[in-house]
Amino acid sequence: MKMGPNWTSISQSNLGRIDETYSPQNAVDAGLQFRYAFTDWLAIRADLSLMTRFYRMDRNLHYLDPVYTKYKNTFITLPIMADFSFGGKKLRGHAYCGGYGAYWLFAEREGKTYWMTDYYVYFDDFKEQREFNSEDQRIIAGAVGGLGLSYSFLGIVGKRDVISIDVLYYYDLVSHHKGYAHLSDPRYLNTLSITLGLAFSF
Amino acid sequence: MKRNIILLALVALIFSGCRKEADYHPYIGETDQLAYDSYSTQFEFLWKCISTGYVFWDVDETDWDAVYTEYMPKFNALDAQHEAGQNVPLEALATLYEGAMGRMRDHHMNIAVRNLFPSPNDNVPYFSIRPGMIEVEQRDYYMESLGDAQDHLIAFLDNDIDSQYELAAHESITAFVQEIGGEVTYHYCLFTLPDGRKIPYLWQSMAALTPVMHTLGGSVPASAAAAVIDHWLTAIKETPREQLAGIILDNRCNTGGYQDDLDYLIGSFLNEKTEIMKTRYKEGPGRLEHSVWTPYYIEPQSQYHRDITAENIPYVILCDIFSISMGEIEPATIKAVLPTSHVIGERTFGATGPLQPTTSIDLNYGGPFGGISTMHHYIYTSTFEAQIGGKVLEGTGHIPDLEVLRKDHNGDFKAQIDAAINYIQSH
Repeated sequence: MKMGPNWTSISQSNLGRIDETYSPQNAVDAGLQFRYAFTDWLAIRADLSLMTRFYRMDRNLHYLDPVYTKYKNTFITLPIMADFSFGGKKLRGHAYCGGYGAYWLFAEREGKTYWMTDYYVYFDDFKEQREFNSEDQRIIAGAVGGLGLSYSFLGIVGKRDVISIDVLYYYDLVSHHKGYAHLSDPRYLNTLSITLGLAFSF
Repeated sequence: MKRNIILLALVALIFSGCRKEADYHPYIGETDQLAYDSYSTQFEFLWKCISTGYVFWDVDETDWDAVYTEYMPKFNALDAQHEAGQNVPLEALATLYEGAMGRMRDHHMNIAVRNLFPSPNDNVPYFSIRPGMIEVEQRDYYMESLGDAQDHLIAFLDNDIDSQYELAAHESITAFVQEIGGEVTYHYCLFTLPDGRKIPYLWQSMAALTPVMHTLGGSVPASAAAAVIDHWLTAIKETPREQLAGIILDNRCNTGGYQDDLDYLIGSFLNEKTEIMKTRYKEGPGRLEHSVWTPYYIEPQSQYHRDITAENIPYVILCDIFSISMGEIEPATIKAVLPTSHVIGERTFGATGPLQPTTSIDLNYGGPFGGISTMHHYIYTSTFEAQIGGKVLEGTGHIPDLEVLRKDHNGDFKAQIDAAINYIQSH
């Protein structure tokens, strides 16, 4: 089992929309982790994770600067990584490298929007579950890598139980926006995830 | 450990090259400053700006990628023609743009493009295409606009008014309004039915109550027009219920104008803040990326307030195929909000997306952009998408409760007024 905070940013061009600026947001990563050791230093690690990946867009135009949208996306993520470990029998360091596939499960958004008449601008708070459309690429993939530290001790549940802390960086290589035949407009999420894990060795 | 970190860094470097790059896109606020060097470059920039800024991709059936695929080679051919020293007539350019963009859903849309390399045979320096007008002219109930509608109305009042109703008062005025830099015409009539009850009637050539009423009590030309509007609103407010048969707002040939006019036309009859429609705008460059649908509220107005719903006073709005923009948003929103309202006439033009001027392009990076007077193009297109009564009316217009077509009455201006008065009498 694992759980912890994450920070997500988005890499995209604003395609000339000069005051729409994007910033990272924190969210949560929780799931299950599996590890199979081939040798003392090499194992395969696979996780099944419910990963929330948030980011935020702010308007900077002077009379629209209260306007923002916080994009709150939830993915089922399946990273599969080589786990190169080193160190002692109880306390070990890990270096991870691999890839992941993910399915975009929910898309919510909240923030502040505006409406206007001929003379006035009004602002309105909103929160909604966004419906997916034909431009959303819901199955994505990417590269993942990072470092970890684990401590194993005489098992309470398994033969030996392990607590760990992992710092993983998820780097999308498939855009979650499909783009167009004659206008490339890719969107990639980047997520730094720090999780505390508890594993049981059988 | 060191080896592992180097390995990770190498892998990260390799993967960073696996991401696609976004294409270049001009800042839409400065496209009028761009010096195109070819017809294909100009088409590509306009195509991109419409791709990212057009607000109706959710309801527009145009396959924008197919438009590029089909027409870019044709614009390249125009470039080749020019480079070979042959003139490219403006008409050839207009034909291509009409084919590419002439079926867009936005009925406000006007595509004006200048010939980069004018041909000696060009009679004008640029062409203008209105996809909405192309569609409207194909409707089976289309008749040419009564551009001189006020003349028809005056003729009707002077000669054709029948014994079914009499005219207790009539004021006509055309006044220059500084704020809009043009003229607006109003006709206020007070019809009297055989039973003595009154019907205050107002015809407006455009939706400009707000700037005109700002001048009420003043001494500018528009102040006299404001006084006429004031007479209509005051008659509605102060006529005793037993003497007030109903209200008529005539929006035929109304070419649009100010959203804030709804404060007078709806707010005067509300008791509480009410959502009249929803609007949304482009947020993000994707064609289907919009803001959320945001409620548009009207507050009750005290100056001419009357609770016509509680008093069950019929409120008839006349509209026709040339009720455009606010000219049709008014009947649609009044119908959506006020239970005693009744819309009579023809299905309206279908230009329902609110607009802002080019100077406000940074609001949403959509809406009108460019400038044809000095530069190469001007694209007039909606800044917002509107939803009235749960529907997007863009391209289709508002359907009246009672259809009365001018075409079925030899183009007569009077038949629709008769229908309005008959409805009020039978209410």
